[in-house]
Amino acid sequence: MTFSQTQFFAEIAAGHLGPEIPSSTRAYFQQRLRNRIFNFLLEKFVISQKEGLTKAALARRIGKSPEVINRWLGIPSNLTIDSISDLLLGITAEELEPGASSPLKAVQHNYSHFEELRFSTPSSGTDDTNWVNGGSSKNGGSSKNSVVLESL
Amino acid sequence: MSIRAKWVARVGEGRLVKLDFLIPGPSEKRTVLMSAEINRLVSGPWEDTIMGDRCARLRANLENIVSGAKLTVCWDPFKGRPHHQIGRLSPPQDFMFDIRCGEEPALRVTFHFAEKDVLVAYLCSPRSLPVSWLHRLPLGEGSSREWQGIIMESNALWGEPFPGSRPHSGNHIDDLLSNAVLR
Repeated sequence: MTFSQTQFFAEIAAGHLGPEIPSSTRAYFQQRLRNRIFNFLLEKFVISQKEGLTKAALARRIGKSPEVINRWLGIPSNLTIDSISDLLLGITAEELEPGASSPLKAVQHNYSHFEELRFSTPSSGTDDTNWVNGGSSKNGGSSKNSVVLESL
Repeated sequence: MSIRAKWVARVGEGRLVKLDFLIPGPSEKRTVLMSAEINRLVSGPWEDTIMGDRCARLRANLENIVSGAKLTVCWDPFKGRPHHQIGRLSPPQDFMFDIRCGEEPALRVTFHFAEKDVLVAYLCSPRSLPVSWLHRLPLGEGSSREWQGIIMESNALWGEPFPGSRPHSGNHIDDLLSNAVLR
């Protein structure tokens, strides 16, 4: 049996008198929120890192151990509301202002990475002959856009 | 035949399944292609069990990758600190990686890059606790027999849809994945 969006949304859209929302459905939305919060905080931290913030300084500022900061900024987790508050305060001296949107009213965006690649001419960097034994890809490699989170 | 033509063809044939958002909305900035095993796990409806919970979270994590979110990456096997979303596995010259899903029981999904931002995910294994519904032993530490087995199996699974092609590689994570943060 395929999983249809209609079925999935029906569980959420059943209204206040509807049956219990399945725990797995709630888990899906919980993880989405964990990811959103993590992405939000990580983006904030990376920007502040470029301005000189270090994990060590952040740890000191909010009274946490370096290991905790490494974990909080390493992978999405079930942060408490207090932890989110501390992190945001320590990173950017800001506080969170919640908002909400309904998945029932979500609108599909037009851009699809898959569709773009599917209909575009592959660059030489994607040819089979371009196996690089640890070197840069033939299309000139890419600029180093990634950021390094220094380890405590 | 280019690697792109190959993976597009594999999706058209149904041998690989492209992950779509369950809830429409964000732009798809990366592509995640799944083996039948991964697709089975992340396709609902999920039962109200621990398995259902974990599979639902796995789906959310894979969709997070598709959305183009910033991802924390460990580039050097055994040298990175714990707590990252994606890790390169040993031997590093294979350019095989795993996606880490941390909620207990923690899961690991092995994958290669077919090209930049195109992930081909094969197998899902428990990290440290037995998980009956995965039918695999926990992977344990990095040099375990289970890790070697899962890497061998995943390499073989790459070869089936992409005979004669090597996984995408590079000198730096930016060659493989956009919007990455190195740990």
